Parts: sequence; structure tokens; C-alpha cells
Amino acid sequence: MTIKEELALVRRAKDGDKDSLSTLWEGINPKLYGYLVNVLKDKSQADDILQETWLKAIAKIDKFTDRGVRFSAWLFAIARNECRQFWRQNAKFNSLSLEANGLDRPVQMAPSLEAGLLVDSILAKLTTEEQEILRLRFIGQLDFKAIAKIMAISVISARVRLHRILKKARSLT
Amino acid sequence: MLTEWGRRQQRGFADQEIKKRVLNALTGRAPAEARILRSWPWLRISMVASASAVLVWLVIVGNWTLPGSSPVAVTYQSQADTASLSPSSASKEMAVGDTATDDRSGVASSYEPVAYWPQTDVNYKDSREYLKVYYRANIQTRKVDLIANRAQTTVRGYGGRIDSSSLNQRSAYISFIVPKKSFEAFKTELKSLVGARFITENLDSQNLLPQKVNIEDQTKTASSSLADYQSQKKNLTDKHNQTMAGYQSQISYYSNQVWNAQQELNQTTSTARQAELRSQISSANANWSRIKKLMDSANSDYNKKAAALDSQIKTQQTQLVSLKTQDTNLIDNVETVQGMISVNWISYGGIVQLYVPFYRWLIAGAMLIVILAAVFGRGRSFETV
Repeated sequence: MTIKEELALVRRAKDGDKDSLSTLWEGINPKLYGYLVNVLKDKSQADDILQETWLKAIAKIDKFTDRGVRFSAWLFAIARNECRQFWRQNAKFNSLSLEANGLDRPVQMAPSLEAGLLVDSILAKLTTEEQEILRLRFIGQLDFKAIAKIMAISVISARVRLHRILKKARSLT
Repeated sequence: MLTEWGRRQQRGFADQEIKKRVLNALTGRAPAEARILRSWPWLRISMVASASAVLVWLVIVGNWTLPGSSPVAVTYQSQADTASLSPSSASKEMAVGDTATDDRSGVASSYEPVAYWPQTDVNYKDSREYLKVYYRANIQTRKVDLIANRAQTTVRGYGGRIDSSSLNQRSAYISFIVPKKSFEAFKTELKSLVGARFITENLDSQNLLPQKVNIEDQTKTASSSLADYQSQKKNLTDKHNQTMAGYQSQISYYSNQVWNAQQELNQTTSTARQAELRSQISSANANWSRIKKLMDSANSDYNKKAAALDSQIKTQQTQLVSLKTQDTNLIDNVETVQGMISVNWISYGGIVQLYVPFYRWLIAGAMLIVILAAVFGRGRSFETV
């Protein structure tokens, strides 16, 4: 779905068109849900946060303005905030905060999640911010502008950081 | 590998209940709130700074590209007659003995106080001042002709004289003279024509004491020479009169001798006596003629010398008159202020430059902000719920 198509659907959804919203749902959810599962390592939690994300987005859909960034990027930002809030409320998961707090130790993988994949092992050696950028770029398939918006950094910083992450990932293989 | 990995991480969401709930939320949502506060992305610092930098740059560049915006080199040209207020006439008569160093007898190439090279060393104890004042004003305005006309009216209003003027749409130049006694009032009125930032003034002054001393010295010399020549003339005349008196008495003696001898010759019958008398008469006549020649020679000599002395006396008297005129002209010159007003058109950019002289720093600062914002600026995050 191109950004224009997406924005057109959003405009119709603002007017109450459920079909447009359904189309958006079908188009964005695979990426968003995949992102949430990879972050939370818990499908049920991912379901809850996915629902919360969409409900909040629809409640404030009129607030979304077209600034050349996708509606899906906005959803990812909401989802990210929801994850953060979830971790804040669940103290045992504080170490898994998305904020770059300088921790470089690998993410604790929940026992239920798949292990042994090469990428997952690389991810485990990256910082949380680096993992986030990889997820947004490769799972969410977001462009640098959207990633910069979500991470609250400049577009140039987003490009530079991804370049460094890939370089680091190559060195870890 | 990462792209493939990302694609594999994506997964469909099969829970229709949640989907239904979400779709129903669309119709059940609250009406759109009236957004009072709107985002103004174009008010970001970097965009404002870049717009300001571009605007200021255009104005300044626009100012630079406009012809005639910068002051043109000033040319002084005096076209007034050699009246008493004219400095050129004073300079002609003042440079006695050396006119090569004075360039103001005609048209000068640039306006600057004339360097009067002193011809006499001035005693350091002489504290007299004969200050010649030169005034220069540069006015910037967007109404060149109006201000130029007002300036000329101001000059005339204070008893001054316009020596030369030129006027076009972009610039005007007025060369003038005003009496020193009304100069301060004239300056005040001229400055009131425009704002303080739009006028710059320059005052130069030169002490003409060396010229004054030179005139005084020459006057003293001429007076002394005149007295000397007059004394010589008197002495010459007296001596000549004395000489002529001596010759005249001899003439008279020999005339009497001739007359007496002639009388006796007419009466005597003695042949010997007649011969003697005839010899006396002849001798007396010869002496008379000799004395007469001496008198003529003395007269001729006297006339030549007297004429020479008269010529010298006349020269010195003429010199004294000339020096008196020079002195009067110098005093008149000192009592006037010579000036030049240039009026130049100013652009809006130039006006900005007057009020904000450090505009270059503003532009540099704005550009720096733009660059820093572009490179290091953090994008605004979404206004998430």
C-alpha cells in the first residue's frame, strides 16, 4: 500500500467508513503485530497491546495529520508507547524498557520464544535502541522518515545509526 | 538476511472479535474536537531562521546590486566668481612667490582641505589661530531630489552661497559656502532634514596662521623697502639740487664776467685792453658752456636715478596694496565655512544595515542554526495519544 493510498483510506475512515478501516487493518496488522510479538515475546500481551493501539488510534484519528508520514508509522509510535507503559506498570520487565538507558546487555528472551535463529542471536547482542531500529526497519518496513519520527531523531541520524547497526551486525556474524 | 527475517516476523492477526471491536469503535468515537491549537510546522526555529537568513541576504544582496547605492567619489568644483567669499581667489593671491603648490586655483580632483604650504616658519610662541573650516556631510535618503533641494534652500537661508551642484535620481552633490557665524545653526537645520542615522558629518579645520605670518612678513619687508627707496629718492634729490645750485652760481659768475667785459670793451679805446677783454670774454664763454654741459649731464643722471627709484617705490606701494588685499581675503576666508553635501539614495536593505550594523553576524548565526538544525536537530515525535 502506498502512502497516498493509505492516507486516502485514513481520510475515509475519519468520515466513518469501516471498509477503509478494515483495509487499513488488513494492510498494517501483519507488520504491527509481528513487531509487537518480537518486542514483547508474548503473543497474548501483543494481542492486548495491538487492540489498545488500534482503539486509541481510532479514538484520536482526527488528530492524525498528514505530514508526509504514514498512518502506520503513527500506529507504531502508539504501540511503542503502549509497550513502554506496559513495562512501567510491570516492574519485573523494567530492564526491557525501550528507552536507551545505556544498557548493552542482551535482551532476556522469554522461554516461550524461539531461540537459535542467527538474527535473534545478533539482536541479543545489540542495545535496545539498536534492536528497535532494526524492528521498525525490517519488520515494520518503515522508511527513515517514519523511523526518525517514532524515535524522535533526525532522518540523517536514523540513516547513520542503521548503517552502524548493520556494520556491527556483520562483525558479530 | 534481515529483510527476509523481517518478512518472516510479520504475522497475520486472526482474532476477529478484536477486529470487530476496533471497527465498531470507529462509529462510536466522539466527534472531532475543535482543534484550537494547530501545529505550525513552518514556525520551527530552523525554518524561521532559514527564511530570515534568505530574506536578509536578498535584501542585502539587492542593496549591493542596485546602481548608485554606494556613495560616489566626491568631486569638488568651484564655479563661483572670484568674489570675496571665493577661496580660489584668495589662494591665487596668497601664494605669492610660489603658486605651484596650491592646486585650488581651478578644479581640484577630490574634495579635501587644501594643503597650504607655509612659506614662513611660524614661531612656536605665536598662538594665534586663523582656522579655516571644511565641512562634509553625507546624507542617505530615499527622496534624493527633495532633500537636495531642501539642503540648498538651507544653505541660502543662512546667508550662504551655492558654488556648484549636480542632481540625478540616485545622488546629488552640493558645494557651498556659509558664514562661520551661522554655521552651527546651519548644521543643526541640515541634520533635522533626515534621521540621525542617515547623516554622517566630517569636519576638518586648518590654521592659516602660516599664510597670515607670510603676509605680515612680506608687508614688513615691502614697507621697509618703500621707506628705504623713498629715503634714497630724497637724498638723491637733495644732492642734485645742491649740485645744480653750485653749477648755477658758476653760470651766474661767468655770465657776469662776460657782461662786465663786454661793457668795458664797448667803452675802452685801448687796443691792448680790447684784446685782453676779448680773451676774458672768450674764456668766460668757454667756462659757461662747460658748466652748462655739466648741468645737463647732472640733470640727465638725476632723472634716470629718480625714475628708477620712483619705479621701485611704485612697486613697493603696489605690493603693499596687494598684501593688504590678501590679508583681507584671508580674514574673509577664515570667516566662512566651505562645505560639500552628498545626498545618496538608500535601499531598504541599506536602511536595515544602518539599524542593524551587525547583520552579517545575524546571517551567519541564522545559517549556523539552519545547518545545526538540519544535521543534529531531533525530529518531533508524533503527537501520540
